[in-house]
Amino acid sequence: MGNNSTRIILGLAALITLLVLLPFIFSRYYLDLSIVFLINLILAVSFRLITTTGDFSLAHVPLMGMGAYTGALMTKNLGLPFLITLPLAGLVATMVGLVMLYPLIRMKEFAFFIGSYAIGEALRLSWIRLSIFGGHRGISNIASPTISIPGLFTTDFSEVVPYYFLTLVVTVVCLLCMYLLDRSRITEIFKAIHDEPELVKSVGVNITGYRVLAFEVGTFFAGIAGVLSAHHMGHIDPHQFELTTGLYLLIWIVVGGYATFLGPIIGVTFFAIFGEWMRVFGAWMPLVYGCILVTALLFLPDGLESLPKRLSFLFKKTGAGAKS
Amino acid sequence: MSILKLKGLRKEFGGLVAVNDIDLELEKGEIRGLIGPNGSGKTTLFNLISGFLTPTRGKVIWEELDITGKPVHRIVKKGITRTFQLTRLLKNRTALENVVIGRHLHVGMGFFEQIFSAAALDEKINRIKEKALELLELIGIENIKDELVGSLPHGYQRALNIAIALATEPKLLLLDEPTTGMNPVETDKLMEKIKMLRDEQGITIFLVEHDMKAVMNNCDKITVMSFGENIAEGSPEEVSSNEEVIEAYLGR
Repeated sequence: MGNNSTRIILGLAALITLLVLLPFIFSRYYLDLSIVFLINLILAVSFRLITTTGDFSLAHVPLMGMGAYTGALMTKNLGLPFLITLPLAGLVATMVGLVMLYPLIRMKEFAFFIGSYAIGEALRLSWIRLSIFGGHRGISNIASPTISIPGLFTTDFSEVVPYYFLTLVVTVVCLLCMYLLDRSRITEIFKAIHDEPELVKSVGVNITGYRVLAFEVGTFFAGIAGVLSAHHMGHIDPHQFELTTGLYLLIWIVVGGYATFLGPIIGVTFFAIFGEWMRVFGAWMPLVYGCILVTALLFLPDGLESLPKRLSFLFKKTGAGAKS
Repeated sequence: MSILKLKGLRKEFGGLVAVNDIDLELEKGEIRGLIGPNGSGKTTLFNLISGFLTPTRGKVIWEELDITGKPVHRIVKKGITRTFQLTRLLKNRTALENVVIGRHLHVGMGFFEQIFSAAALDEKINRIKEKALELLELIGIENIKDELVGSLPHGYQRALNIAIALATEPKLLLLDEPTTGMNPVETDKLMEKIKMLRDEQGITIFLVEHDMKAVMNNCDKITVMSFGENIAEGSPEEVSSNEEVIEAYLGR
């Protein structure tokens, strides 16, 4: 166990070093993609956090959108600084999530899945209807963030490289928080609720409370991802947070795996790398995504994260075969 | 002194009356058997006491306190823990890890403490593990502490369920057919342990059981249910010679 976690920490350290060096290697275009990659990391890891209790939520992307809208509106209309809008948008997403949970927490499994879609969609449609959210056209010209400490310094993040580093720092902090939660006893309870809810209930665990906790923590980080995305694009509209985005999120998780913390990271990385190559398929891209999903479901049902285990098992088997 | 009182407890499922106005009192420190033909409402009664189901009407009074319809985790906190008729375990974890989950209410750490203070966490987790191991020893299954639960023989799984329930430090233990699927030797051993829990820890026991020999030999008092009603109550001798009970079991 201890050995395993040192390996994870070493792996993450190597990854972070690589990410710090990226701006010196990549062109502007690839750096843009890298920013999206980092935001997707937060989104996927926070999504997986919610799934540990067995709740697969299609409201995750709309709640990310809630963070994006909150961040954009607070920047544009109130002129609040980034360091305040960032956590505040996370909190607003959490609050909206809490309202959603009022009916949703009474559902389980498939009902929860489809119910979360309906409620998420209701939230998204409200942005089209309510004028403050800018209707179909959404909100444009979202200023890039600046961080200033009066009298000391002011940093402007309008250029790609500084914004990349800002996103990187926020991503690392978010992932670190979620990693700490993941190795804590609380996640043990989350997983136990998924496996044997009646037993866990019978020993005094408030399973509704724990499901709310997982959902709300995940939603907070989705909101943060939304703010980063809003500033990166400079423009948001309701169509960015449609079901399609949620489905891609599901594909990342299924292909990468969701049993451990690393699964969604592997999934997002896989599609970030191969997604670029897959551009040659043009309009056929969704089909290729679908093929990858089906292949993963058939041959790697526990995702890419289970590949090392699978391979070592396979080698052992063929090794034993060679001997006899 | 009675520790648990049921007053006119009733549960209806649609038109079916599963538990029909049951009145019942449990004395502190007794071993009470609950018997009755299949479908007579025994498990439903346990579900009502432990909060897994809300009664249609009637009251559950625990230590002079009305706990009717309270959520399960509140009731467990007050000292009532139940086990299940079907074995419910975290199959892909070890026996010890299962009991550790059972210690949930006695972890004694706040949310942020659990997340951020790794050193304190290790020390406290170790203390929880020690306690969990003690419970496995108490039930006599410490030899399987590191084995994955899914691959354990049935008898061990049943015993483990009781160890998990004990981890909550209950004052009243509701055991739903604890000896199902056990051979007579295993049954005797388990009943022995259950008696020991009462004698040494003062835990009140309420158990549903189909093994008549086990019930007659080990319970202080027996309640008989038939079609949701409490048809007889008394010492094993009284109950086994009761006309109505014999009728319920054998038919007219």
